[in-house]
Amino acid sequence: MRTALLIWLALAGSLLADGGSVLFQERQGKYEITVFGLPSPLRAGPVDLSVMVQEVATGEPVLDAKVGLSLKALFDASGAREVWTPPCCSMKRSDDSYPATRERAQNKLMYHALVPISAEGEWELTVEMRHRNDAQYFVKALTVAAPRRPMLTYWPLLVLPFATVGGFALNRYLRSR
Amino acid sequence: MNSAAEAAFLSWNFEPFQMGAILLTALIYVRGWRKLNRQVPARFPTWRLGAFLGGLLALFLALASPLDAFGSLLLLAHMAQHLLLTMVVPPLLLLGAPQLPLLSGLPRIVAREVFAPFLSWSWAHRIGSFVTHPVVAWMAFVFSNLLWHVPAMYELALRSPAWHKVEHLSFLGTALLFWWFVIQPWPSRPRWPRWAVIPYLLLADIQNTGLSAFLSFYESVLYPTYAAAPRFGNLTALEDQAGAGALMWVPGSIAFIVPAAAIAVQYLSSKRRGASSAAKPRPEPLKPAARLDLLKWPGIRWKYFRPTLQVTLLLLAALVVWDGLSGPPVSATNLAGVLPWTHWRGFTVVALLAIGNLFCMACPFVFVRDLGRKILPATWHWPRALRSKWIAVGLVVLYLWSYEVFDLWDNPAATAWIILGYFLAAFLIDGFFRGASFCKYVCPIGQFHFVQSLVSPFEIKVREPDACRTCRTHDCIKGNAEQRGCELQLFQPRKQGNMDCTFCLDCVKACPKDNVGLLPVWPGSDLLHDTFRSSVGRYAARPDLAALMAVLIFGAFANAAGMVVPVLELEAQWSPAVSAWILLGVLTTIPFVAVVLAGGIAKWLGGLPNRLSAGVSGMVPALVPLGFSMWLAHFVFHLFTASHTPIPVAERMANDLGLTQKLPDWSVTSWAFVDLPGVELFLLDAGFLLTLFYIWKRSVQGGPRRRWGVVLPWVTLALLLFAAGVWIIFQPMEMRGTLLH
Repeated sequence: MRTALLIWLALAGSLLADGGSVLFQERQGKYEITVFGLPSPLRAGPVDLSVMVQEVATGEPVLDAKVGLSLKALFDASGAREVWTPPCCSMKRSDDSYPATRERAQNKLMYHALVPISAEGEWELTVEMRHRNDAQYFVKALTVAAPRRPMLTYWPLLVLPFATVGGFALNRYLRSR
Repeated sequence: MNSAAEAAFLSWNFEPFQMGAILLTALIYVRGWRKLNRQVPARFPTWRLGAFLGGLLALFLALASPLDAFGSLLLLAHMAQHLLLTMVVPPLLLLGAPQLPLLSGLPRIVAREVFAPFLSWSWAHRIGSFVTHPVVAWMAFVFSNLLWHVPAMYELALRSPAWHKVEHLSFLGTALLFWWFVIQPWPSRPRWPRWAVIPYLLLADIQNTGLSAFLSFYESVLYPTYAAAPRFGNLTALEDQAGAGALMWVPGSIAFIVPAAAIAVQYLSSKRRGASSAAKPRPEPLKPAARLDLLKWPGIRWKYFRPTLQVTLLLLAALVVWDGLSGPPVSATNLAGVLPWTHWRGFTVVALLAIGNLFCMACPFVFVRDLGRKILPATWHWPRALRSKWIAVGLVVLYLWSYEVFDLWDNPAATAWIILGYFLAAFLIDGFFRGASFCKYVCPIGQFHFVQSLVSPFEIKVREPDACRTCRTHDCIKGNAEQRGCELQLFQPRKQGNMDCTFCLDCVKACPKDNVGLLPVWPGSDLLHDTFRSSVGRYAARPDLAALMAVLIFGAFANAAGMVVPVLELEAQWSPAVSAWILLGVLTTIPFVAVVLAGGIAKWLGGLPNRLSAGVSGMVPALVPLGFSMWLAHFVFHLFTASHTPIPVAERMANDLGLTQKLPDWSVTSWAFVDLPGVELFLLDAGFLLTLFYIWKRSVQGGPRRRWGVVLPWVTLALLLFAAGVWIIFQPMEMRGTLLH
């Protein structure tokens, strides 16, 4: 058991994974465009948006397109409380448009952008796609939930020192016996 | 290969934590296996090493390969990932008999002091005995397998990275328990007869067959994520699901049946009982392991290594000064607004964390110091009354205070003048005074690095203490005809820690026995005990050093807090003069009151007989790791979020000089990532824990009557600073040195 525990402990930190779910799928001309979002459901704060562009006829992914995403609040955002928790504050672009690139994506069949959403509410996401001489764009409404409190997101790291202190106390107790 | 397939194969995910954990585990195992292979080669043959590393490789493939990237698009990919985690990784790892290699591979003190008490704890044995009971392990494995295939649970894992992590952990954890009974890794002993493994595996296979048949033949798509996902080629979601079922069925069954068959054959075979006549390999005598010494790495002892670093920084400093004085006044577009405040500070703290005081090693001010010595007399002794850190304390306070009050980060010309002033001060001080007076008593940047390098993992120290006992020349401090000795008066045999060490390597070059190296130490080990240190003395007897440390510890939090939006909003309500006075209080009065209060309460509660100043000076160094972690978290944040800002600035400079017509593109990308606050918190956690440990260890000094009485007030102070650090990390930061606001 100690063997299993040792290995499990040693490797526990490595078991990180990615996720995300389909926000919407749109057929535009000869292209099928799928947009993925993480977290799911979307929350104010930094949001991972990935776009997959496929040719309808063949299902083949299009890899040489230019994809841009832009966001507009469908409510009066001036009075809304912004959630520029780090590192959101470093991602904001003045024109609220974000190029999505394959270089930034883990899945190289997709175009990815990290987009900061400043407040909860209804937003409008515009997806622009240019491929060769073809340009497509469409607009979709997004419902963005309230941000998750950082404390809830990072609770394991906040608990870690106190758990370690508990372990240390137990260690001292066991050694003293 | 077509471009889509090529792109798919390039979809790797090199997550630093994943890579770090896997590499660290491999390193520990290999280190332990090498020792054991020499001692008991029959028990730890090469194939065990191969099996364990193969298991880690399979884990790497499961987590980092395109299987992971495609897991949310194709159930087939996700199933392959899970099969690796449950059917391939655990048996391979267990075949490596990893318990002893992993323990032997750890530093002895960690294995003995940290793990041994837990591993010999009776409750750990009882719990271990329970969870590895074949019935419990089998049920845990099967339950985990069934549970995570329930659509609601599977969807939960697909939607949430955190739950995905839990899913993977439970797959790997229960599979390790399940395969533990099958492999029975040495030195564990079987509780059931060996033949029992056969029904154990076959029953698991029945469950696997049932689940995979259900997946294969179910007539609608079970998991909505895959129903909604874009399809590749002609593969429908239902076909994908059926394929995943088949994958689980066939290779999954093979993973159960092959070992069952092998064990059956082994059990029935007479060879099993026959003694092997092959000669057993003889153990080799243990050789002492070679100690890591960075100075033995190629290039570091090259004559021009240090000058190369210094010239590089000197050229950069010249560029910064030139652009600061002649370039645009907007800090984000000027090299003087970008390089010193974001990149230089970020890289130096990372260097402190990874190795040590590399900035002082590469310090460009050394050139003008040497020039000053040639032009000016350089014969005076530094006044005895000033041989302390008090001047440096004042300069550090001045630096931190003026940085905020005069917005130095936003004033390229002022930055350039400060650098020039720095060169002038180094030139004059070392031009008139002997030794490295500027470095030791004045330079605030040097003091910052001296203090933070107490937590660094490397130290310039003697390799073999015995060799120094017979030394009569003491070249390391006195120097010789070819090489000067340590100008900071650090006598190697009695040197401890990195305080006042500039990593200049003079002592290394001067030692005739080549007995000084750059050797690994436990981070902060100098803080464990307060013994006499050459040229530094005991920390408890150095209130000036304690004041320096306190200013830098509290300064770390004040400096970071000065950039967060709530504090900036608060400042906006005050007049500049009030803000300046409050900041001065934060940098001077608050540290003084806080440490004196903690020391006073500790003296009272702990019944310490020594003087208050000695108690405070002796305990403040324990807070250094926490302060360093705050500097690190703060500077790393800026380094990542403004990583690419020098590129357009360099383009702008080239454009100004007419070297290019290309206009700079100011909308650069950065290394920022969503979990950057997590990295900052992790660093802060590490600093906090080290500080708590050193408070505990140092609390015995001075002979307290009640140890907890000494610990309590200092831990409370550390906790308050930690809480302040957490709060700062979660606040929006002003994007200094960038065009973002």
